[in-house]
Amino acid sequence: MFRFIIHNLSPLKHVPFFALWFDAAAMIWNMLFSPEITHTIEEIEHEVSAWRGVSTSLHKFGGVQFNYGGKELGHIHGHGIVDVLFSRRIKTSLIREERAEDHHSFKRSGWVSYYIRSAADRDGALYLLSLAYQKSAGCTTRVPDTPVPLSAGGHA
Amino acid sequence: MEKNVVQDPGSRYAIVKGIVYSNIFAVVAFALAYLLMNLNEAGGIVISWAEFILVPIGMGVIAMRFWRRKQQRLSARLPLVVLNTVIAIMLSAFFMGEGVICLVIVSPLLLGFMFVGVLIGHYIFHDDKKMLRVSTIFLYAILFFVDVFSFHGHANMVSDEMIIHAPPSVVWKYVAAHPVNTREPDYWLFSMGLPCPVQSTVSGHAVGDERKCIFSNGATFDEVIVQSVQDSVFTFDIVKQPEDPEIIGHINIERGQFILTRRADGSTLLTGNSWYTLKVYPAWYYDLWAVDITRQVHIRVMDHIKQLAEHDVQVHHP
Repeated sequence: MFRFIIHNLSPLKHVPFFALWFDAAAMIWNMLFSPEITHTIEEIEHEVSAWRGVSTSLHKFGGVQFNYGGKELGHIHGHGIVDVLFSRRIKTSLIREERAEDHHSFKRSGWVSYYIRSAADRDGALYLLSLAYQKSAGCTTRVPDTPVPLSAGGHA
Repeated sequence: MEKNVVQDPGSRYAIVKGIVYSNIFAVVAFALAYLLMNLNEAGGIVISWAEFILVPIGMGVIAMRFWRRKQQRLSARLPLVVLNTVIAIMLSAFFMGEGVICLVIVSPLLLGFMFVGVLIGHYIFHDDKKMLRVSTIFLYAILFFVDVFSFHGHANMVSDEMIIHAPPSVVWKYVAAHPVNTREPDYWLFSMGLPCPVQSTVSGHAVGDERKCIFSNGATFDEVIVQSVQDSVFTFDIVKQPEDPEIIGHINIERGQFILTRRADGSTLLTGNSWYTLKVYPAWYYDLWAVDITRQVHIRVMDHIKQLAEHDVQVHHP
């Protein structure tokens, strides 16, 4: 149902407060019926917010938003969609490597989406966020195939 | 990862304080919005999104001001949010005299927005975010008072059609008035106790004559006929609506209409129209319920007319 609404009724996000309520409802639903997704989101939030210079806030359409240097790296919605911003070139590469999907709403942008369905998706989400973090933090080295260990104040 | 065990000494009564202070805030803010808004409104009591969105968000933020002392995962707050929602709903039942079905309808809205408040609190109650906290409170106050002093008049019209295997002249006999409908309702909210229409009476069929639409709990809509074209159109305006604790007390139903159209096979297409204005907001939530309930009222009345008219045809024109 959440996927249907996100893909087909996206104009609803412009209805005042609807998106926040919808995301909170999705989060509550997952807490009750898919706690694995909730725990995975919490683990990712815990991990990413520990990276040096990263702060968290509430995303305007609901969910946790990760910021670095005053700019958004990405966000995780309560229903388990991770949206991360890259350049169009990197986005094309990530989609080709099947590490991410086209963004659920903004197709003609650098945004990609990644779906958390179980605890196994944790590393994939962290990979994307760590890649975005490295780009924002000014790291020019090639990102390895495995997630970069950036926890607890680490730096790429 | 798990930090449930870490508590500071101030967390001892944090849960109780969060619940108590957030509910005190709710009562005060709700009363303020209710009084200010209904000084401004001429069309009956309106409960707007200041009450149904901003108050629960504020409750969540205030509760989180205390609950954050207990270092827990966000998901561990959910039982507290549910508990606080139940308390808020009980306060609504006590102070507002709301009916059970109204409370069932409002509960997802309250729960969702209270959780939004908890999320906002989760991110703004950090020592380095004083400016964000001040900005949030300022924005909250602006939104609250802008809404309270805004005009609220979301109007809608619901239309439904039903084919009746009887000519318009027979259907017409049951449009203005019909005897008591004893059939058990099959719509889930009617089965739960939401009043459903059971009978209509008229003092005559001419323009200006009175009509009454009686619901299962005795609530009666006083109406006046404004258009009566035999076998064709019957329109009435609602002049007095019952005070009701359930959802029909939160919708201003203004006009109703039946249109009878003869079909090629001699049967009748009966169209039922209702016009209403919402008295509860946000419209994106309550209008879904209003449309659904109005539709079910139409279907119940029109189906009753259908049964009566088709039975009439079978008895008199077998």
